[in-house]
Amino acid sequence: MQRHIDTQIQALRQEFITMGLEVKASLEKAIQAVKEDDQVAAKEVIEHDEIINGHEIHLEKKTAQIIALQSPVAGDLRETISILKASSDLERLADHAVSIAKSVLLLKEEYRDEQIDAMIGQMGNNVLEMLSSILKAYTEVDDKLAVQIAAKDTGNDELYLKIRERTLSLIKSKPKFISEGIDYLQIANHLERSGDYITNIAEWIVYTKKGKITELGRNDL
Amino acid sequence: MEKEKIITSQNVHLYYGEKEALKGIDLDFPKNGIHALIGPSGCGKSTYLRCLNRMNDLIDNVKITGAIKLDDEDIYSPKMDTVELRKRVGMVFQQPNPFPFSIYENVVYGLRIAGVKDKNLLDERVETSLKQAAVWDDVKDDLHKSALALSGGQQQRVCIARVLAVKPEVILLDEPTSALDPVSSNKVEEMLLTLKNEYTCIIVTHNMQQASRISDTTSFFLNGNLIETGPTKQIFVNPTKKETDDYLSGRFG
Ligand SMILES: Nc1ncnc2c1ncn2[C@@H]1O[C@H](COP(=O)(O)OP(=O)(O)OP(=O)(O)O)[C@@H](O)[C@H]1O
Ligand SMILES: [Mg+2]
Repeated sequence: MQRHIDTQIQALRQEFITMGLEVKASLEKAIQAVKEDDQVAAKEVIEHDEIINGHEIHLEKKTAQIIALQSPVAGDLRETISILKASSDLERLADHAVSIAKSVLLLKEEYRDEQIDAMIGQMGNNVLEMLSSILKAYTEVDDKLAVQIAAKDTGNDELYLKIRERTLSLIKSKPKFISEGIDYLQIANHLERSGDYITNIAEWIVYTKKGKITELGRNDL
Repeated sequence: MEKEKIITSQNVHLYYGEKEALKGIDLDFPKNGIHALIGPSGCGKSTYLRCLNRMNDLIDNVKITGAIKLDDEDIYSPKMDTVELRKRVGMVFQQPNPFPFSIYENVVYGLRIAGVKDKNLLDERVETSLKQAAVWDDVKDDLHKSALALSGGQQQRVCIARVLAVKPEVILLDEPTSALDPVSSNKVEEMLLTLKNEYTCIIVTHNMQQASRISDTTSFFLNGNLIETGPTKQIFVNPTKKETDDYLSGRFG
């Protein structure tokens, strides 16, 4: 039986996925911009943020309407709440993409370090992979996949520590590197936080499926 | 901490002639609070509710097996006095059913049957019960007018006062607000919330929002079976059975 609420929740799901893909595109572009020192791309990421914020606001409005008018319960209620919460995680992810893009505008070409660039690239790939898979897990309400994705976040945490170590030693030996060092650390920090938001989304997938509020692989730095 | 149980039922089967209307119900109720019974039409909610004060005894050709206990006492034991039982386990019906006499006489009905003659005691019970039923202010100047002259919502609350007047332990309510407008329903709900600290209220309702608003526990019946029972918070957010989720979300029923 097709219920009225089914159509409405379906529309929420679609908008959530659309928003997810846009966030992924932003993050991809920001990471690419770091790699290639692409200032134009970085500016595009910053400008695109408004559209993503618009999705979040619209999803908030729609979920509030469903809660008020349709009184969802059980599975419907959990899914509605999850979309509301996970969309704000997506929005925060996009904010990190913006911050990364802003760092690109600050990083100076002459002070870049190959090793750090490589580690940041690796971290970026890991985060993007997590994000693609989390959108898949979300679409299929696959809680097992969600848990696996969350587990990948430890990789980011390890890379972050390595980047930090290398940056600090470079700053020590080459004090002029300090400003770039800080930018690098910030980029790595934004990527690390991005992994945490993806982990949050994984938790909402588990909640939708199982009704359990869980803390997945929490090892915040 | 395990709450004290006031009613326990074990493997309750009920047959109307050949038809098995309850297929082995195991269900306990903690003392006090509001307990909702929900489920699609014909699933056996009213039948089960009537088992709890032996109202089914009044129907021909009914066979009941299993055990129902009130405060550890078997209510189907031959020693059980059904008049006494129905005082301890009172019932409120879907349609307000005031007797065709004054509001006052309606409320003291059970006490008169029990032989209470003390005028002061009767007056006191009338006032307290009507206050508990949140209808005192509506009727205090008209106590000797016919109860039939009241609105449906007022009649229902007078009927609840009639049950309360005999100081029951358990109040069974079978869709008590389905014939009432939203304002009167709301008054009955508010009243139940004030009663729940002293009484055990077991309510059958088709209004899911009513069940979720006021009840502490919810039990879901389907086809003569108890599918799931638990704290209302859990049942409405995270039911363990798919049938419960489907019913609550309006996928059937
Ligand atoms: N007096 C009776 N004689 C024969 N069958 C009955 C009698 N009362 C109820 N039944 C049958 O028993 C089953 C359960 O009925 P019951 O009235 O308990 O359902 P219910 O859950 O209260 O439904 P509703 O929500 O419509 O009030 C139904 O199939 C009904 O037809
Ligand atoms: Mg009924």
